[in-house]
Amino acid sequence: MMEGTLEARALAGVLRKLQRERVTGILTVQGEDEIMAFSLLDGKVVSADALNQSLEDGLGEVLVKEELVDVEDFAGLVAEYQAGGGRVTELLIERSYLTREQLLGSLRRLTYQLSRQALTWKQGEYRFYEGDDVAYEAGIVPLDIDELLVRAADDLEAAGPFGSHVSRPDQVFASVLGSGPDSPLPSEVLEENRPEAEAIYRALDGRRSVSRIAEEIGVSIYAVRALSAHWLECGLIETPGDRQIPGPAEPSEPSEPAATGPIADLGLEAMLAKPLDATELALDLGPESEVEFEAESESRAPFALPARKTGTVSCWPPRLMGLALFGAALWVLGTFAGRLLLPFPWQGGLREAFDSQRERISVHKIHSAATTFFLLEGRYPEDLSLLVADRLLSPDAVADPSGRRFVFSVGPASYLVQKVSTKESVETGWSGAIAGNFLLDPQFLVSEVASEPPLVLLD
Amino acid sequence: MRDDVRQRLNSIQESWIEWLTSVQEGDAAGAQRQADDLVSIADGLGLPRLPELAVAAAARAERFARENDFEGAELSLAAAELLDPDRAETAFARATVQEQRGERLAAMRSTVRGYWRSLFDPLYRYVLVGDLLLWCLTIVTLLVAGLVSVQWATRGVLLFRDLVRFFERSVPSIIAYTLTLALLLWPVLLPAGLLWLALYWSVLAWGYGSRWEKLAVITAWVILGLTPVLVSEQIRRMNLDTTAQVRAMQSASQGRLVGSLFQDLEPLSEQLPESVALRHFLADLHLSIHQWELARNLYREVLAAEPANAAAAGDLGTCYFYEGNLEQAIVLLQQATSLDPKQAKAFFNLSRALSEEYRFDESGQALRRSSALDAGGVSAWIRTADRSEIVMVAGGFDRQGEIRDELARLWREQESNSDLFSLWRRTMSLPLALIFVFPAIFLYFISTKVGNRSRRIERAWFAEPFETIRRVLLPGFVEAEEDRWSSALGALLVPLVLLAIPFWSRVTYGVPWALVPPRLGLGFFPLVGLMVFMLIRGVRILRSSRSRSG
Repeated sequence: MMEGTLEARALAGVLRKLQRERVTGILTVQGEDEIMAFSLLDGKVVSADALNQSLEDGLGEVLVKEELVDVEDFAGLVAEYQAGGGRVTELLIERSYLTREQLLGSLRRLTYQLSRQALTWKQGEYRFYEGDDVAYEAGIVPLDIDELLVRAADDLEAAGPFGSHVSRPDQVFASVLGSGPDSPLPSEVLEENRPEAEAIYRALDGRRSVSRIAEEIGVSIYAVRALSAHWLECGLIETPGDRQIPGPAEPSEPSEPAATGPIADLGLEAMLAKPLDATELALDLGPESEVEFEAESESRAPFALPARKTGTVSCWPPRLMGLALFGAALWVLGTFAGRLLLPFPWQGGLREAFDSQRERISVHKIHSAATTFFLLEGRYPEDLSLLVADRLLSPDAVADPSGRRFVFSVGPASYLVQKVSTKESVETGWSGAIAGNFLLDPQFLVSEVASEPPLVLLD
Repeated sequence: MRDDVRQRLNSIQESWIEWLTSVQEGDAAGAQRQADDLVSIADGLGLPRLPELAVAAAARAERFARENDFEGAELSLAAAELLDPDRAETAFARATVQEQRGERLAAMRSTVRGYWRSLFDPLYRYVLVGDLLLWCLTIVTLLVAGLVSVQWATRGVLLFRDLVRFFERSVPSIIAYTLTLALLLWPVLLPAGLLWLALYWSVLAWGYGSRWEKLAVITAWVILGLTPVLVSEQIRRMNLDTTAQVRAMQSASQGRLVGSLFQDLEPLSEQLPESVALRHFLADLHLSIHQWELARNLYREVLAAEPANAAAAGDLGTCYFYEGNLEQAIVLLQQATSLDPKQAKAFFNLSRALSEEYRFDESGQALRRSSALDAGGVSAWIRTADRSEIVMVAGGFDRQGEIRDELARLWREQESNSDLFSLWRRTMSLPLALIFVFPAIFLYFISTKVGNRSRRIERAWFAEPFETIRRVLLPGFVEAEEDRWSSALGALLVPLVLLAIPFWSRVTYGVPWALVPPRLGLGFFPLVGLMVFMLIRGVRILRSSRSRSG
């Protein structure tokens, strides 16, 4: 359980700590004339309740303000709820006043409003009860602490969580320790326990705006604004006009807010006393397509210096390999489409059976086409091209699946289909004949009659 | 074969030649008369459809159309429809004629009708369904390759990083990179290297994926393992269903008289000498073409093996009826009705036989029983048959599935006797696929112990505007980077389906239509489809990036 007073630690600081630790549980805050409870799930606020304001009152206020429900209608629903007619939130949806999405949006706004109110309190006590689970409306989008603090700072301005240290989207900041892969990382950045914190800190180079950094790194603008406002408050960054880059040999005095701030507490002098190996600290992020990695280092830097060896690994080899594999799959489709389903080396027999079956169907097509031709012409065609020209056979049916063409040779009452290999040698043959086919064979009647014993007339 | 049957069969040939002459001379009445004669002869033989002549008439129609003789074409199409109604080839020929006339829309309609009719022909339907299965499996295989590619381009970054970092502990960076690449690329040197490479990468990257991805990759392995088993089973079935014997059986049971029917059925007796189902089938065939004596002998053999076979008893009675042995016919028909009291046809035939014997009271009773069982059937039989005819039960034609199974069993026995090893080779891909799970899980645990904790993936590959172009042109990759794997699969599937369309004929058997179906002129569809897909994708990506920056 974590507890304390708001005089010793502002609510914003408490929330940021809970965010860093990604905790789940309930935070109660007793202010000057109100007590509030915030439910946190994985370090994000999912609901807020006030002792002196029921959910119905708070939600009703939000809904009426947003003109989603009339005051009278809502009062009627509350009356029905109080008479035991169900939950107000369910009634709102059942009566089609709101869609579920609208309800969740309104509940989220209510959570924000209560949180914002609590952030203005200067005196009071807080207590956090950690738990495995908390109750909240299913489907609600959790309120990220960064978003909460930044929006509250925008709304409350100087009375907000960052005081006068506001970070706007168009603002440009620079690290007081210098940016780039070689510059040291203050413990404040490392303590954030968020992979994007280092990237954001490195990107604060005095040239790129907050919004651009968010876009380039691919993180939410709230994260960049919240972190930069916090670092500004701690004196870790400044606007470029105020910049005094400290050198390793002669570290400059921290700027005024930091003199009593965390950097001083953590020993900036000591931190800068030992120049760091540039290669160990190399970090490059964002569109330059490299990712940071962290690993245990053999020698730890003193104090809060990065206790890890850092380096860069290019993202491009695996990306190119992935693309190449995809291209190869398409190439296989174009070149060996028939082999795609039976690709393993030991499936040779199965592939042959598959090809042989396709071949048999091709021969069946030829047979059927030759029979039709015979029915029309009274003879078999001299060549398969005649069947193709007559549209009795498709052009791709004159070759087997592996591209070896069929050769058609015709006799007076029969034909032979042969497969010719690439070396022009005949491999296999299938024959067809009119004999026994009562539609084609003119001798069908004669042959059988002749085979019967002759009739002998006796005097 | 009896002489009169033989002569009837031969007269089909003569009438066909006369039809050809009439249609060539433009003698519409003569052509119509000859076509009617053909159907009448075939009907008299109990198999009223003449599929080969219908196809030839349809082909003749196409020839007429090419010569711009549309009257001849229409005559031929009418004959084709009469000789074997609702045939796919007739619809295709009509489409060709319409196309020749310049009626493109009607031609497209007829072509579609041809494909639709194909679904009602057992052989065409079977091959079409088989083709569809093969094509779908091809797409699934490509999708699996796409999934591994996408996973590698995203999660592979993390694995690559871990490996490089691992090697960098002991060697310089350049060597660490070289070793990592060698470790990742060696399977390409194996036979079927690309396949092994994809499988190897999927195993390596498995542990780096989300729960959803892990499940998708396991599903992909199972599908890859199952594919050869499915294809193998399909080849076996296709082998059987496309044999001349099975096709001949199907034709006969559908009332289709093909020229080589008797030739094609001959080998069956040698292959299945003990099959009662085959004897019953052949008995039905001989009965339908009025070869009473042959049919009678076969029915007796069936009844000797299956004394409770009501259909065989009824049809044996039918044989006696046509041979004039009414007394024996009545005995057998009564036996059939007692064996199966729900057989309306047997009661109907019994009523006819009793009537011929002037036992009108009993005949009336049998007819009433028959009407009570199948009133619609009785009125149809009375309408179509004259008083001297009775109807066939044709229980043997219904047993072609049984014969097919016996053939399949025979083939399987021969196969398993000869080559057990080949059977193992056909099916081993499935256990092999499942084995992949073990190294994948092992590597997963290793990566969680020694790998980097951060699982963040860099999303931007390039600076703008190239990044937006990349996002549009690489469907699936972008969605995977954003952890939207179901969208990633959808984004991969659409272009893969479109890309696979032109390769249909190279991965399938091809339906053995006797006439080439006209092209619908949709060859451009995959290209246009791809362009539309990319356009929609581009618009959506641009919109979302605008709203994000806004």
